[in-house]
Amino acid sequence: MAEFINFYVIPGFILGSIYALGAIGITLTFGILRFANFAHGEIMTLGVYFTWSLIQLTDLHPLVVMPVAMVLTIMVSLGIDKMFYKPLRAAPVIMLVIASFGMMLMVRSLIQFFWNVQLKTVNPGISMPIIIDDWLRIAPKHIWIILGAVILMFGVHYLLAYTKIGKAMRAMSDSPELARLTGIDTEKVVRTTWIIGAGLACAAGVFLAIDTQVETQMGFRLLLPMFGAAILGGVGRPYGAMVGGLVIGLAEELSTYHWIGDAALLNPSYKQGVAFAIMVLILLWRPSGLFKGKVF
Amino acid sequence: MSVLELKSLVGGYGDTQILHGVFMHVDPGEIVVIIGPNGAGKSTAMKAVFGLLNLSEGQVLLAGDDITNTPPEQVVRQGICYVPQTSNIFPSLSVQENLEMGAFVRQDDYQPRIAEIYDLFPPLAEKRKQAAGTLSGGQRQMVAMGKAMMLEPKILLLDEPTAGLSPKFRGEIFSIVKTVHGTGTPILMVEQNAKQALGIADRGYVLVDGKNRFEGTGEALLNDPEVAEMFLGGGKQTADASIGPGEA
Repeated sequence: MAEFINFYVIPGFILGSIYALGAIGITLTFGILRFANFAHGEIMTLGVYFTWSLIQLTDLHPLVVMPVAMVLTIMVSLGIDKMFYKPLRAAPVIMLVIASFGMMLMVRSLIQFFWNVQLKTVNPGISMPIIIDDWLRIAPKHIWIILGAVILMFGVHYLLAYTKIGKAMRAMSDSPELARLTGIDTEKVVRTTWIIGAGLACAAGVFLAIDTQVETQMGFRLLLPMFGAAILGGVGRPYGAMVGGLVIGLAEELSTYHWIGDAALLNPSYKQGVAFAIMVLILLWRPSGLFKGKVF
Repeated sequence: MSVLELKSLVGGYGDTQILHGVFMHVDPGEIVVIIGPNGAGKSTAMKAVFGLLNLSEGQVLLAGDDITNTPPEQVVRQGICYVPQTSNIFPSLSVQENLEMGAFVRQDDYQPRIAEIYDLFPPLAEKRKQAAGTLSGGQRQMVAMGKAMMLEPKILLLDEPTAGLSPKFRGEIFSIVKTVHGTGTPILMVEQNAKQALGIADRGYVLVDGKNRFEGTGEALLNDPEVAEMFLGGGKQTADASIGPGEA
């Protein structure tokens, strides 16, 4: 039991909360701007590299410099929207999708150009796990990650449920045309969407970097599980993305547990395939996802 | 002065001309109904008022001010609210949130106005926390109109509020329209169900092929044999009407 909790459930929750934070941005962009943003993973990677550089400059803990990195990432994201996506706002959706694909390649190349492709780390040193009640082992960094993810998700919930701009975001996700006819400031909603998406992507990336290491493909690798989470939860449904992220993260980790016999049910090298399998199954059985999202 | 005046509107979508000179006016406190066959440009005329298509000729005046070709997000601020035929509510938002969104452009405290809307439509007050998409057809229209009324508009535009509803529901919708009108808001409404619509209207316009064809009080149009044959009794839609186009 202790092994199951310590090595499968806890890592599953950590991976799941990282997916969830990333998937919120994907699902909001999908719902409000109506396109699948392939560059979302790269924005995440960029946030991590900003954090790494800030650590080199200040020698502070990654979570301390993270807010500054979030602001920088948000500024880049808003700049990209203004220069590349805004002129295409009235164009067919496929153009925006392709533009985001190009943006993905460009941002990644720029990261590789400026920071090179060597593995880096943001962790100040090895920290010993805290042992509770003689069996539950959890590393302090994992406590920080889960705590950070929970705080950010409550922040998103507060924004969407109680603020005027958050409600307007949900309204525009329901019907962009009616939002315009109602007099909702749709450009402000779009800007807010990028701010939240980029901020959370940066945080998710930093959490992943704290858990593992820093490399230029880290965001791209998360793209599939994040899309899986967004689709599982229902496109345009931020709460769905949170649940979807946790489900996929847990499913990936639990799929490698030795449920039958002594061997892992699924070889850990294949666990990334779990997200893909869940995404395909949900598209076949319930395309609107768990929270009745949009079907394109 | 008329609340809303349409002068010789010409326009359409892209290269397709739909309006070929439409005249109309709505006076304070009136319900005015636009009827006509499919494709006559009824909804298009209404969309032209709201800045949803480009007019090549003509003028739209709101209380005397020229608002021709003003984009919708500006028209809302000037005091016209428009309820589209379909998807006129935010289904995943609660009733209360729909009303709040209706007041998006308001900077002042709109809570008293929400209370007024609930007084107008008591069923909504009971369901204020419920997602608007789960309500019945009639209650959805209450939300749609209540949301539009949040800005205390100078005039309300309704595009076929009874479209797709059974006759039983139509009566409910027309009574909602009358309730809204009872607050003193002038209404311009496009309707397929000409008979019922003219029954509650002060005046009506009949559009054919993007032009005014007949005009008169609701009663006069109901009793006009020509109009009756064309739209009310399901008679043949002959084009040899001898009465000339109505002048605004």
